[in-house]
Order: sequence, then structure tokens, then C-alpha cells
Amino acid sequence: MIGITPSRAVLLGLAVLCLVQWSIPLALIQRGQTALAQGTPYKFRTAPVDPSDPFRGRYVTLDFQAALVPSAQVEATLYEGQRGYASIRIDAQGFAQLHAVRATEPATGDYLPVTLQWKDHEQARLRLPFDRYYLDEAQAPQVEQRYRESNLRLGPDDVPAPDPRPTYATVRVLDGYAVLENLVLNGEAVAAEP
Amino acid sequence: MKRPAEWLLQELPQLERDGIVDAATAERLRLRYVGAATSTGWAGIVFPLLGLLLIGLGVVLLVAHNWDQLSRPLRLLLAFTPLLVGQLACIRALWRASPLAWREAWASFTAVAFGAALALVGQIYHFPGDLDRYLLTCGLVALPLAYLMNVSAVLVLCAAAFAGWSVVGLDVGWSGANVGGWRMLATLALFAALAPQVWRLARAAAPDSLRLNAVLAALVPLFFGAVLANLLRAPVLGVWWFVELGALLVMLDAQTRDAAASIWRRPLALYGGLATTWGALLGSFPQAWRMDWSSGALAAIPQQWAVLVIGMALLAVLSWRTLRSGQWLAAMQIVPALIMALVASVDVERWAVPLAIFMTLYVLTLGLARVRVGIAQRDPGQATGGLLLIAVLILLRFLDTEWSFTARGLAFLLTGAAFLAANAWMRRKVHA
Repeated sequence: MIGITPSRAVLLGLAVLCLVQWSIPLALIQRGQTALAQGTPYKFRTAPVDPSDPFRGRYVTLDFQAALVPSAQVEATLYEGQRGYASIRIDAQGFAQLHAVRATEPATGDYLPVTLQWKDHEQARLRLPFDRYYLDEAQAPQVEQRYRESNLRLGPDDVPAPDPRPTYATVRVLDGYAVLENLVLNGEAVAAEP
Repeated sequence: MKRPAEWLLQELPQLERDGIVDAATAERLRLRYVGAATSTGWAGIVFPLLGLLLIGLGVVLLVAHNWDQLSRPLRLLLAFTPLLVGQLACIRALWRASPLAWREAWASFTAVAFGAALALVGQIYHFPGDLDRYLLTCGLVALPLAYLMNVSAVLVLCAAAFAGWSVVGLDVGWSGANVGGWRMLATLALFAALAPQVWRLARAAAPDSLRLNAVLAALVPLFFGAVLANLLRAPVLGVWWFVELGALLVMLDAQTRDAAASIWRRPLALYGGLATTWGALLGSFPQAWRMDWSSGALAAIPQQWAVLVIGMALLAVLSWRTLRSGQWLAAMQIVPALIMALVASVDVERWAVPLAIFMTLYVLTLGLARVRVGIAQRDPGQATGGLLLIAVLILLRFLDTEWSFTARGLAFLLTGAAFLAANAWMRRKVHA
């Protein structure tokens, strides 16, 4: 390297590495902020979580009814464990639903990147890109309790009982990038600042 | 109390003045011992490293509480503070040519601080994120730090992240054909990226250096596990990989290290010997060969086969060189890998008993050979290791049979007594 001593080259390399170390989380922040500001808001109705893994420390584990889709909506060539893309549509109650799960991104409309967890003759289970809602360590147990209680108000076959104050998560989606914005328990937002 | 090297360097001028050593000899002594006198002991490296890592983790845990009272920008500021502190300290350490201990400590601190900042940003924004991608990002970003700061602890952190990526990625595509393939090759490429720095450390350090051995002791099992994770769906290939890498490590040790050094200072030989011995003992059970080996192997993808076949080619070259250098005991370790390579894609159920007998005879021969070498070289450790191997083999055979408890009890007693008597006889022989 002309004009640069080895020690200076190492220092230069370290400076570049420092920039890379900053740019990765900053890029994440920028992408998330853009999604929060410009993304389309969707409401995903939550579902009860697995009782054996209900709460881990400072976040609430979320499950979504939209994660269960008819098998006919899943591309036949998609295998369990493969990542794919699910288009989003809104149901009659105003909540988001997933359909048309494909290996490639859809040409139009909003979509989520998902992972096919399992599929049988009737239904398929998807893993959505958001399943945790982080909150204050002291606040988490109460929210978890409220979250579980509100999701227990389900009728047979996990069909939600009519509830004027539903429980759901608001998600912003922009170009296939989804950011969890807030958790609404019985009509009341958990965080004041989204 | 001064260390011997330091004392010698202080004495040199006087020795030179008194005519005990000439100027040239004094200079050669200085060149040889100046490194030893200024080097830091293990405590000098471990304590700053642990101290800074604990402080860093403490800060991370405080931020991870996710204080509801703090605004998002303030929480972000707190999340990035350890990273900034670590980066500035690394630059200062390089600028002022700080001792190795502080370079190790600050580089590790910065690597952990980056991982923490990334995780905390995800927490603050509820960002989606896969653990395997997170681990890969942390490992890749930390890797240049190991080279630039010329440190070893960060290498271990990188290897742990890469191994974690390899294992966590398994649940992505358990039933699909995507497991293995590019992931297997990527695992090898990631660990290969660590190799130049390991080589650099090996060239700079003495062969029995604690630092070098500690790094190897951590990297080898991580590499073992990372590749094995890609072969779990084809158990026969997993066992083959286990004994193949074990033999490669033994040969590498035989080619590069002093065989007279303690086995605890030769992690390659220790891990390699354990892996090949485990494979050989497993193969001494007929039941092991009655598994449905061939179906798992045939379902494996070409990349998995390619890695194992290339490994065998390398092993063949190394074992030939090892044999030519007269280290036939080390060269013998190729046998389990050779057998696995021959039977990997064949249904060997009807050959189960002959194969088990062959592996039993192999372990017996290996044990007897170690006893013989131990006696010839007056090395009690080597000879006892050989006896131990024979004793384990005999014990396993007893467990393998349908004998009554009484018969097995008597056999154990007799074998134990024979083992003690043989050990006492052998020690007398070695010390004679």
C-alpha cells in the first residue's frame, strides 16, 4: 500500500470496521422508522400462546390467527421450513388475513415474508416475522396475564367470541418489511409511544 | 518475584562485563528471552478480558430492562454507548500499541457490544429478526476485528456465532432438501475464514503456548459441531465425519507438534484421539452396523459427500506423511474413517459381526501398540492410556453379551484385578 504504513493501514481498517458496525443497526433503524412512518397499518388478531412457552422475560410471546391458513392457499411446491411470501387482505371485521402463500414475492399488493412450519390436508401453519412484543421488565408479567386472559375469550375451534373490545397487534408493512407497532389488549394500547 | 527470563535479561550486562558471555551471545540471549520477559501470563489476559466482558454484559442487562420511563432515543443512546466506548478503546489500544491483554479485552468487549446493540435495537423497535441471521451478522462483523487487533478471544466468539448459525438454521427446512447444500459449504467457508488468523497465532506463539492451545481447544469442538449439524439427517455420514476429522486432527498434531509434550497441551491430538476411539468402540458393537445406514447416506446431497471425500483425500496424504515420519501409531487412526468410507453407501447388515470383530481387533491392537510404545519410550502416560483402552474394550464386550449378573460380576472383578496387576508390572518395566 503506497504511502501508508502497516500500522496506519490497520487503523484505517479499524475505522472502516467501526463505520460498518454503526451502519448495520442504523440501517435497521432507518428501515424500521420508514416502515412505521410510511407503511400500511394492519391489525392482526392475536391467538392464545402455547402455555408451555407463554412468557420469557421481558417480552410477550404473540401468536396470530392469521398464521393458520387453508392448505389450498399454499403453493404445492413449498416445503416445510421453506421461506415464502404471503399476500395480505382485510376481512369483514377489518383484521388482516393471509392468503396466496408463494415461494416468490407477489407483483402487487402488500405481503409478509413467512416460513411454512407444517402443512396437512386442511390447514397450513406459517411463522410470521413478528412474534414478540418487548416491554418494560416490570410491566411484562401484568401485560402477559392480560394478554392471555383476553385471548381465552375464544369460542369453539379458536373462533373469537364476539367482543366489542378485541385484542390485536398493529403492524406496519412496507415493501414486505413488517414492523410491530403496538399491542392492543381489549381495545387498550399497551404502549403510549408506538 | 521476578520471572527467570526477566532476571536473566537484567543480569546480562554484568555477565558480559565479567566476560562470562561475549557480546554476540548476550545479543542472542536478549533476542530469545525478551519476548518471554515482556509477555503477559494467563491471569494478565483472562482478568481484563473477563472484567470488561462482565461490565459490558452488565450495561446490556440494564438497558435490556427496557425502561418504560425512558424515551426511545435515550434508550438507543444507551444501547450504542458500549459500542462507542469499545471502538474508541480499540483505536486507542492500536494507536498506543497496548499490551496484548488489553487488546484482547477491548476487542472482545467491542464484539459483544455490537451484538448487544443490534439486539437492543431490535428490542426497542420490536423488529423482526431470525436468530440464525443475527448470529451470522455478529460473527461476520466481529471477524475483521480479530485480524485488525491480532487477537484470539474474538476468534472464539466468531466461531461460536458461526456454529450457532449452523445449528439454529437446522429448524429452517428440517424436511426439505435445503439442509446441507449451500449451508454446509457456507459453514466450511466461514470456519476457513478463521484459519489465517489461527495460523498467524501459531507462527507467533510457541507450540505449547497456553493462548494457542486455548484457542484450538475452543475452535475444534465448535467446528466439529457446526459441520455435524449439517449431517444430522444422515447419521452414517455424521459418524464418518466424526472419525474422519478425528483422524485428521491426530495427523495434523503428529505433523506439527512435539509428540513429547503433554497430551493436555495438544488439543488436536486429544480431541482427535477421543473422536477416533469413540468411533472405533461404537463400531465394535454389531448392532451399530445393523442400522439402516445406506438409506441416510444415499439421501444426502452431493455437497455433503464432496466434503467427506475431499477430507478422505487429505487424510490419505497426511497419513502417508505421518507413516513416513515413523509415527505409525498416529497413522493407525485412519482405520475407522477408512472403514466408514468403504461402507457408507452399502447395506452392511450381513457383515455386522465380521465388522464388529474387525473393529474390536483394531482397538485391541491400538491399545497393545500404545502399551508397547509406552514401555519402549519409558512413557507411563502412553502405556496407561493403552491399558485403559483395552480395559474399556473388555468392559464394553461384557456389557454387549447376555451373561448373567453373577458371571458378569466375576468377569468384571477379574478384569479389574488384571488391569491393576498389569499396570503395576508395566510401571516397574517403564521405570526399570
